[in-house]
Formats: sequence, C-alpha cells, structure tokens
Amino acid sequence: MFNNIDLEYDGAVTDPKASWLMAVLSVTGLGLALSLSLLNYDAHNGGLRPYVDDSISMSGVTNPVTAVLVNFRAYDTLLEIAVLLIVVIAVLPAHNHKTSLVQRTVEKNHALALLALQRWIAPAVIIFAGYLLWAGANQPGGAFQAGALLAAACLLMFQAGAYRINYTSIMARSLMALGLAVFIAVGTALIYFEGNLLAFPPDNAGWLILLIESSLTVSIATAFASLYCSISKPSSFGSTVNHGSEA
Amino acid sequence: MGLETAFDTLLMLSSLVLAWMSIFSASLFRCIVFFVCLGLLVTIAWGQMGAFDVAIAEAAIGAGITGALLVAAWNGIRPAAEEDVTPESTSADENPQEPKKHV
Repeated sequence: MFNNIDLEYDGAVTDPKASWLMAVLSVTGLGLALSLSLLNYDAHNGGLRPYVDDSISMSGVTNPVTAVLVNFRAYDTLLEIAVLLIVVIAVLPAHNHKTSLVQRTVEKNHALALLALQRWIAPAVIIFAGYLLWAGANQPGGAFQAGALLAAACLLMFQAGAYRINYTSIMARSLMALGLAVFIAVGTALIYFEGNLLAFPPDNAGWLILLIESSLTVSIATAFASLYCSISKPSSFGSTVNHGSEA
Repeated sequence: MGLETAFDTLLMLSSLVLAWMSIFSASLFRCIVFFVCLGLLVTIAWGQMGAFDVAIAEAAIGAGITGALLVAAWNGIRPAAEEDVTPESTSADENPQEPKKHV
C-alpha cells in the first residue's frame, strides 16, 4: 500500500481502496470518540454555566452569550475581529481609487424588479439589524448577527448597479477598522481606569458594551460587503484566463 | 417515541444527506445550493437545541453571506462555455436531432 511514497506526486489517487479505508476508519473513529464523550458529558449541569449565571449581574447585560463574548471573554472577540480585518485587507483590490465612498453610475439597464424589491426589503432589513444589535443586551442577537444582516442589505442594495461602493476609499477603510479601533481604545482606556485590559467596571459596562457592539456592527457589515465585492469584481477579466489554464 | 424525537431524527438525517450532497453533487452550483440549504437546516437544529444566538448567526453568516460569497467565487471560476450556451446556438447545430445537453 505504501511501498514507494512520492512526495512530489500531484495527480489522481492511485489506490482508491486504501484511501477509502483510511477515510472510513478515521471518520468512524472520530465519530465514536465524539459520541462517547458526548454521552458521558452532562451538558446541562456541568460546564461554565453556573459561573456565568453567578457573575452576570456584573457584566452590564443580561444575555449570557453577549456577556461572555464582549465582557468575560472580550479578548477572544477582539482577536476574532482582528482576524476578520486581516482577511478583508488580504483580499482587498490592489489598485487604490482616490474617489468617494458611494458613486452614482449611469447604467441604462437597471433591473426594475430588483430595484422595486430592494426598495421594500432594504429598509426593513436595516431596521431589523438595528433591533438585533439593541436586543443583544438581553436576548439572542448581537454585533455579528446585526453586521451580517447589514452586509446582506448592502449586497442587495448595490446588486442592481445604480450605485457603486468603492471599498478602497479612505472612508470605507476607516469604517472597516472602526470596530477594532474602538475595541482597542476602550480596552486600553480600561487599563488606565481599572488597571486591567478590558476589565469593565460593573456600573459603566452597559454603555461601553453597546458602544463596542455598535462600532463592531458597522465594521463587520463593511467587511463582509467588501469581501463579496472583492471576490466578485475581478471575474470579468479573470474568467477567460482561468478557462484557458483549465482546458 | 414522541413527535419531538421524530422531528429531531428527521432533521439529523436530512442534514447528513444534505452535507453529503453539498460535497459530492455533480455540478459546483448544485453543491453551493445544497450548502445553503444545509445552513438553513442547521439553523433549525441550533434552534432545537435552544442556542438561538448561534442559530441567528448561522442563518445570517453561514447560509446568507457564505452562500453569496460562494456564488460570487463560482461566477469567477466557471468555464466560459457554460454562460455562452443560448437556445439559438444549440438549435443551430449541425445535428439538430441531438438533445440539448447544457440547458
């Protein structure tokens, strides 16, 4: 089965039986281990839930998930936002237009049904995103969900081609970095006032969390929308090149 | 076996089937569509488990944004022959008795 292993080999699988055997064995082994550990684990009484429930009054919010994400484990969320920002910067188009954020284009063939649809749906989606952000304090919701909804509204709005967003403009880039900047600014300011990074004081935690979450929502929405645009834009000239190399 | 258990079992089996189909479907576009459907089913599963935060995030990011990103990427890599197929070009072929394959 493994007589002469060629590390440079890059073609199709030569021994399908062996790879099937390996795949089946590893998947069943992993599945067995996971189900055994799941059966032995008492999810409803163990874990960290009692600790969260005990200290939730100090967190400034009443939803345990938001409390963990933005207060107790705020450092993880900070790094997550940084990772998202790095990904967005990595796929941002290289050419840099020094134009404004939103441009009106003079395309003639507007999709009329799409325009009518977005006039109905986009305001509702934006309001619902704001509601999700606000509701994150005491019930399911929060910055990530609201940001994703806002990004979806953005994609829908700029699908018809009447407007075009320039994601490499200074405005768009500062909107993308706003969430991380506010998060880091609040965190370092709390070092000065409280003595620890991101140690929220129980009296002021509520509005600090709301401030962080609102800026995170804006950043996440811009990040997702620009991710979509930078993936879909170069297809106009990239498709023929790809086709030539594949065929 | 109550109705709840039957629903959960159905949900589990159909998400497994959809996961299989989203990997091993014939065309890439079908894979993407099945992946979005899988995201919506997993949303229901998270809701069944009481994790509504994760359910909302899964519906918005997992099904919505990821689906849009996958379709955008698919638009970039799909072969040019697929979008050039129009009813006129297939009917104007040399052998009109051959059935249309691409549409």
